[in-house]
Formats: sequence, C-alpha cells, structure tokens
Amino acid sequence: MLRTIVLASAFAFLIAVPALADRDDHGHGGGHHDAPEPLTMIGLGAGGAGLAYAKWKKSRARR
Amino acid sequence: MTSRIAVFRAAAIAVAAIQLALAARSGAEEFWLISFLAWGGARLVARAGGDETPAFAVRIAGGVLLASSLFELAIAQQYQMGHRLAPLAGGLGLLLLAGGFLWVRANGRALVLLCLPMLHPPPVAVRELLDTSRATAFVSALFLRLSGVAVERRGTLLVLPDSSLSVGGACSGINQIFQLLALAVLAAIILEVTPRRAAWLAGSAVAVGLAVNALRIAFLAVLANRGETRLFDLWHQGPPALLVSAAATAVWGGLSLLVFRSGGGAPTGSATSATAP
Repeated sequence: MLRTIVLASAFAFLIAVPALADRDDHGHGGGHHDAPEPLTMIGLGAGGAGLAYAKWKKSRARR
Repeated sequence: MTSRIAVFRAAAIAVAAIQLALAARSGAEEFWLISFLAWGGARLVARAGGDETPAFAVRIAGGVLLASSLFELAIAQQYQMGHRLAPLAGGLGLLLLAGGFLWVRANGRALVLLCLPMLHPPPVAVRELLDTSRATAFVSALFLRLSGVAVERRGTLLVLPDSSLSVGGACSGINQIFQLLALAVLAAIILEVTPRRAAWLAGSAVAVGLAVNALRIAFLAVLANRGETRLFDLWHQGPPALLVSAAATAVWGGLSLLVFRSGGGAPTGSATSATAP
C-alpha cells in the first residue's frame, strides 16, 4: 500500500511539476547582472573528469 | 536475465543520448553537463533488481514517465524548470518498464544521481531561501583584515578606504557551493565512500565553495580599492572569472584526497582498496 502511494506521488510530481513550474529559472548565471555564463562549467567538467579517473583507477585496483 | 540486463543497459544509453541531444538545444550548458554527469554516474551504479516481470499497469506507468521526460525536453526550445526532472522521470520510467518495483528498489543510488539536475544550478527558490551573500561578505571581510586591508562590513556591503563593494547575485557563492555539492553527491555514490566520508565531502564542499568565492570577492574589493577597473571587470565578468570554479574544484578535490589518504584507511567502504578518490 505504502509503495503504491509513494510511487503514485512520485509519478504525479514528475508529471505535474513541469507544467506548473516557473518557465525560466536559469536567468543570467544565477541572477547575476551580465555575469559570464555558464559560471561553473569548468569546475563541473574538471570534477566530473577527476571522478571518472578515480572510478577507473579504483576498478583497476580491484581487478 | 542476461539479455534483459543487456536490453536495459542499451535502452538506458539510448534514452540518455536522446535526452542529452534534446537538452543541448535548450542552450543551458550547465544543465546539459550536470545531466550528462547524472546519466553517466547512474549508468555506472545501475544493476538488475530481480527476475520478476512487472505488471502491465506498472509498465504503462513506466512508459508514460519515460515518454513525458522526452516530451518535456522536446517541446521546449529553451531551458525551463521542468527540464530538471527529465533525467529522474526517464530513469524511473526505464526501471519500471524493465523490472518494476524490485528494480526501482535496487537502484536507489542511480535514482539519487538522476536527481542531480534538480540540485545544480540552484533553482531560483533555493537561491532566495539560502542567500549566502552575508556569509560571503563576512568571510571576505575576514580575509581582507587578515591581509592587512582596512575594511568595514555593513550587511552585504564591504566598505574600503577608497571604494565599496556590494555582494549579491551570483557573487554570493551559492552557485559555487551547489556545484561542489553536486560533485560531492556524485563522488560519494560512484566511489562508494563510507557515510562519514560522504558527510566530509558534502561539508567540505560547502566550506570550500564559500571560502574560494569569498577570496574572489576580497580580491575584487582590493582591485576596486586600487582603481584597477580593467582588472576588476576582467575578474568580475570576464573569462578569468570562470576559472574560479576550476580553482574551487581543485582545492576541494585536493583537500579531500589529502584527508582521505591521511586517514590511514581506504577511501571507500572497502578495506582492501588502496586508491584515493
């Protein structure tokens, strides 16, 4: 019963929210006046690459 | 069972590729990148949940969720709030289609990763709720005093002898903090760290994000006070400003590596691993 309620809630949320949501919350790099966009791309990309390397290294060590 | 997993994996890659192709049209690069990382991480940790064939109604629900996620991205020419839910809706839909509730339960970590686009970039409501401008101004003033610069703080305003600087908007550091928090969640899940280390990753992400941004503000305040308007504009709104996020990531990653290594044990839950994240 609980599982059905949780799933139904998640389902309703995922279907309804996009229709009700604010149409544009991205703005100018987080509400900044004329700030360069995107603000955190380089950090995010570098972090993602670092994590991919760490995961690869860990998998290799396990083998 | 093996062929079912193979079909699921292929379907996950196809859905991710379609979502990312559709998201690329929206022009929101940060959203695209965080979706890419979310799908990549989810694909790494996804696993089969059992042999049970899902009920017809569950498969219909999965199909509707999957279709709605693609529809949401397909109909909008520009980025909109609903895009953030597309990876989660797509992933949940796929799991329901492939194996029903058992597969959903077995893939909690993958679903958490698919929530990352909701976390970063921080939505307007979050930015309004968690305004870090005052904290950033406080830490910036502290850095300035420590380096011998006379400064007075009035709320979010930093008053120096020959200039003043107001901390607001993206300068509050909220974007930087949430970028590192997103990486912390990704690291904690794909590297399978212990809860204590996951807490360290999240806590240090907030601290480093705030501190690095406060350093940038202190640096900008000094440039403004010296009348270096060209350098100020460059570091405030020019390309060098983008490097701050790379510096924050490097500091946070390096610090985490140092702490995990100096802890003496393995960085992950595994006692046999000798590598650090």
